[in-house]
Amino acid sequence: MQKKPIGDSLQEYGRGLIGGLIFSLPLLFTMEVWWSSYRISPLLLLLNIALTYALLLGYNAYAGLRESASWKEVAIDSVEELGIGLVLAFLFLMLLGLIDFNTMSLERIVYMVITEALTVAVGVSIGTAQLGTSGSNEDVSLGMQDSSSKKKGKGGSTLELVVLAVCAGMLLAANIAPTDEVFELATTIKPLLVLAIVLVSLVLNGVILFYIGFRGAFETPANQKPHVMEVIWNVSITYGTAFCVSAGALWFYGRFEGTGLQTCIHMTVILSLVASLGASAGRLLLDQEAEPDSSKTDNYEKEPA
Amino acid sequence: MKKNLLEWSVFAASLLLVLGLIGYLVVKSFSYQDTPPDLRVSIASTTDSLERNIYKLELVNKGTQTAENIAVEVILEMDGKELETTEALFPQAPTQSIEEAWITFRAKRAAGQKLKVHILGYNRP
Repeated sequence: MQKKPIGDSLQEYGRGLIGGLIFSLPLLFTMEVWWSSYRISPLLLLLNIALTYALLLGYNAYAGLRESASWKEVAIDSVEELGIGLVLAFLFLMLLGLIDFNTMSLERIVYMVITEALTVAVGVSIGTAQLGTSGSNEDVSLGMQDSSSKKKGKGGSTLELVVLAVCAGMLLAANIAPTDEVFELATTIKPLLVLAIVLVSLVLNGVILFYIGFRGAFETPANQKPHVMEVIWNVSITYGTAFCVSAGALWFYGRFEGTGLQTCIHMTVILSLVASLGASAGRLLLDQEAEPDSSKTDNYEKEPA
Repeated sequence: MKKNLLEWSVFAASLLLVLGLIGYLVVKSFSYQDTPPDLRVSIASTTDSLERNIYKLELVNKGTQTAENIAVEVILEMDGKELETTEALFPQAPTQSIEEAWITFRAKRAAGQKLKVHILGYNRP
């Protein structure tokens, strides 16, 4: 097997670095994230590293890597992305003057870097896969599964849907979850508006996935409506995933600490509006196929990716 | 395509970094105790270009919980009499970190002046 030229690798890392920055700069500039790292426990950070690695594995398996990639390659690349995310977060926090070796303990520096780095790592992964020129090499492709097997089987496609929805939902939700605004809104909002937010989220999901011809979304021959059960199935899974991602992000950033159940639910619903946009529209963008034309001719009707 | 030397190097460095951090966090997890803020203040005289009676406060939190909005009162005394009182505010004091603040007194610096420091209060984030 031929070795990859160093130039190609450098380009790939460059794309990863840019992707990492694009997706995580809002987080790096948010002071609530720096503060949340002060009160986080080491066990929670360990759990978050494990979950982020699982997320990277999932993304690389389904959308990030070339189709010929094995699980071993996916695992190796995910470790690389985690490492690059950590280094990038450290360097950027240094650049912003947020790391001071004279006044900050090692523990505080490490916790702050890890808290920021996990989103950076997902950004690195997406940047590596999505920011390249399509068709220029084998790296821009469909992930481990080939195009035909990818859409086959409800179980496989549902897992893929959830994994990519978690990735995309988390990228959006993580930027807002640590901010005080979510709590502020949740404590003042009326219950009727909370219900309205749920309904708006569901409608937006349905519209994006089925009715506005979003890239990579549900496609049928002209004028054929999607089956109702298909809509309910996909919208439910997408919104459910977004809700769980939102709750997880709020919990990780300590927003549930000392907060009543009703406010916690309000916060999760409010954040789910954002996360569900990521889980629907963002997911479809992450799961772009390299050769959309050929897929249309192969499969005239397909499920949302 | 097979990975080249650069990619294997990046992978090896990343693996070492990630395993190192996991090891560090595991050690920290075992020794972790959720203790309330334990604040210590030290004070040292300093100077500025206008030669004011100025002091530097250093606040260290020895507990694991972060303290927020810490108000510190400093009393300037001379011959057992209270001359002047001033306050410093620290927005945050994360664990094991050093936070700095400066206070000034209107009274000129003189021999025999003493300082008393008292933490007025703080809250948890």
